[in-house]
Amino acid sequence: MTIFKEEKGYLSLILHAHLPFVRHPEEKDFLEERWLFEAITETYIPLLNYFEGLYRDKVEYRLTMSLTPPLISMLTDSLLQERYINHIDNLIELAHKELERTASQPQFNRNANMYLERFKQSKDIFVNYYNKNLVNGFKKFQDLGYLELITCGATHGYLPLMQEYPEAVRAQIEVAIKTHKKHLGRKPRGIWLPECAYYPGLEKILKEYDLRFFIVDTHGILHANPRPKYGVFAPIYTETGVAAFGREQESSKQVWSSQEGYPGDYNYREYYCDIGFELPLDYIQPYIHQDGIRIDTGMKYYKITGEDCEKEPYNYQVAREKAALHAGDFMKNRIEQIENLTSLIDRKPLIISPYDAELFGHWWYEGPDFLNFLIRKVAYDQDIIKLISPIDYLEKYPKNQICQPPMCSWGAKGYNDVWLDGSNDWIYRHLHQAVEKMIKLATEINEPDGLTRRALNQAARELLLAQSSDWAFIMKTGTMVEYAVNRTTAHIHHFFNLFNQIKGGNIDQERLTELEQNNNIFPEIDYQIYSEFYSPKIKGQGEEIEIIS
Amino acid sequence: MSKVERVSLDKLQKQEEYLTSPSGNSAESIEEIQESNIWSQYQLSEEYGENKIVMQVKNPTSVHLYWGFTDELANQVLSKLGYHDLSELPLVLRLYDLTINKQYNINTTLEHKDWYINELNPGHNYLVKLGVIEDEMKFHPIIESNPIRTPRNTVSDNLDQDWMTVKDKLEKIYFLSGKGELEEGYSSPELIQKEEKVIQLSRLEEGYSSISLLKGSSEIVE
Repeated sequence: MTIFKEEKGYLSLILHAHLPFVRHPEEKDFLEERWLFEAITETYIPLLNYFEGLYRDKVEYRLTMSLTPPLISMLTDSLLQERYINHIDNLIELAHKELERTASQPQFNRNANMYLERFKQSKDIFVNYYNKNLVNGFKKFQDLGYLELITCGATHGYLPLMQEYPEAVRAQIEVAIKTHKKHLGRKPRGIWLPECAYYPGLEKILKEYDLRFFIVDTHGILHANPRPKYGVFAPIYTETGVAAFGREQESSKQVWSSQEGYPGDYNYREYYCDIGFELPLDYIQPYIHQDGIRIDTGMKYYKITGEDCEKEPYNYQVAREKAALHAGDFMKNRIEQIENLTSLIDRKPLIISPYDAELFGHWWYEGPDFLNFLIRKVAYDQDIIKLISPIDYLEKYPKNQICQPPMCSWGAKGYNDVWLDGSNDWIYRHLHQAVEKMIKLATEINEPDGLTRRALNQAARELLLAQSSDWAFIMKTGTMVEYAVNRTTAHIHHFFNLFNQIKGGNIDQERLTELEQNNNIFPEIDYQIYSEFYSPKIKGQGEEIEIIS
Repeated sequence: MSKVERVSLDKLQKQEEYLTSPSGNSAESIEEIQESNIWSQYQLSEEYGENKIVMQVKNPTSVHLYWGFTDELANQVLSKLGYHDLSELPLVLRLYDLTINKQYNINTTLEHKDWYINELNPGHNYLVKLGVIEDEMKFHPIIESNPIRTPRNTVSDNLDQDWMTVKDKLEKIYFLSGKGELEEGYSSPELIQKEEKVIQLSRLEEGYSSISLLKGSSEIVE
């Protein structure tokens, strides 16, 4: 007879899966499209494979993932799906060549073989198992009850820096929810605010869309008013009843930190040694960018090894064992935390551990193994903690303290510093101007003819694409700045062109068609979401908004 | 009485390059990749001919402002005062701390179109007006910003406990229970102070962003 001991607390792992919308039909080999392809091979497919294994083995768990609308849009786009197949075919060819080239170097040869098998498997899973649409995979495990899939801003727009235009915030939320529902079959119950960026008043809009919870960084809870009784170990309710859950520090640090965290272990794969940079150009040329720009291929043969030393060959088996040890260590630490909290808290505490999904696999190659081990260990090796989703916690504990979180984000320094900085502050004048114009158009034009409607809808798409927080972030970090600047200026430029054409009644149909084909995100968008009369109707700005029913 | 806050001069100069000089960094970076990148052909307006000043919170102690106003509006203000040109009077950002009812003047110039104000108080309400000063005393506003509140950045002293029950997924039955119902439980200051200590030691210097794929490291900037 199995004796069930009741758990003493909960752990909520949250993976935020996001990439900005990058799709360039006008070029054959567009460098930045590889962000998606790499994430598919290294993160999304490995995660789905482990979900499949957990399902097969009937392992009980709950995991929360945000799939952002741009990511969903790219994963379901037929052009990018075909391009991924080309990409993975190319890698399979490279891996075959590598197998030959390294024939006399067993340690490298073993790795080349590992990559070949993985690439072949990726293609098989992608094409044959999920019919090129990985969203189907995530949906499968959602429908089976393992994944709680939540949404994000429509284009990951940084909401505190558009709060003066609540119609723009509303559009980010509504378009996200519609995209989510279309592809995942149900409305999301929670939202990952882009960059965990919250401002007081936002919850009023979230409530209108039946969103039950969002995540903030630790200080979003600790600095809330009145002081939250349970700290970050339980959610708080905003006045509207939408719950805020706070990121727990210690568990985050163990995984995130490249120095102190697990991913820095010397046995793990070294990200920065890639054959795309190491092998002679004439050999590697067909597998890097067509213009001869050296890039990561994903084939990396070395382990981190140590600091300032010669790198040694990577051994996946050893690394995998390390991932199992780290999963055990992570679990042990969470159990200790929960045990310590039990005497301090008069309810079962919850530890919220959010991470970027792409950290697992792409950056920390063994990350998906770690997650798989962790989920299995939590299920079988102990009975103190249980994996749940924030929504499950709200069902167990529907009564929570009402507190007002301050404006906050999870960026460096905890507020808007990263996205409002000398490197990127110039964008807001243009973004705000475009929003004002969009609201004006949507409010003034009720029954446009077919062509004008298309132009209005495309204007809304261009505006949303310009708002991606990714561009401001890239400008701040200083790598690939040109691309981010160009994406921002291009979308704003397209927007104002469309605005002028709509106002002037001289829409360039050919150009419009081209924009619709290139920037084809949100095909069903309705520009009316920007109208002042659109429901839920909002009065006021920023913190002071009122929803008019 | 009035305190002049001029801050981050080096930053201000950078702003100028970006916003007020057509040959600044931003424009250069666009040109650099003109040959290789299809997106690079777009230049944006520097002005939209509007009368507004927008204030946005950067962090608990600093805000960013950008503004624009038309000659027409400026002339309206000037003509009432008997002047003809804006250069005849000092241009000033007047910052109002609405929480403690104080105001500060910050000298600016016609060349500036944006500004950072630092050393503000967390958890205070602010408003800014841009205008001219006459006779070293009298302020005449031209444009007025949106109000903002800087976020608080400390643990609250308010220990009130209001609780709410949100029932079930779709039925939205909210009911409030009064203060004190759970007061027999432990009180959490020790717990929260412990967490606060951790946060001060380990964080807010590093940070995260939702685009780890691009950054090559999980710990970003600064």
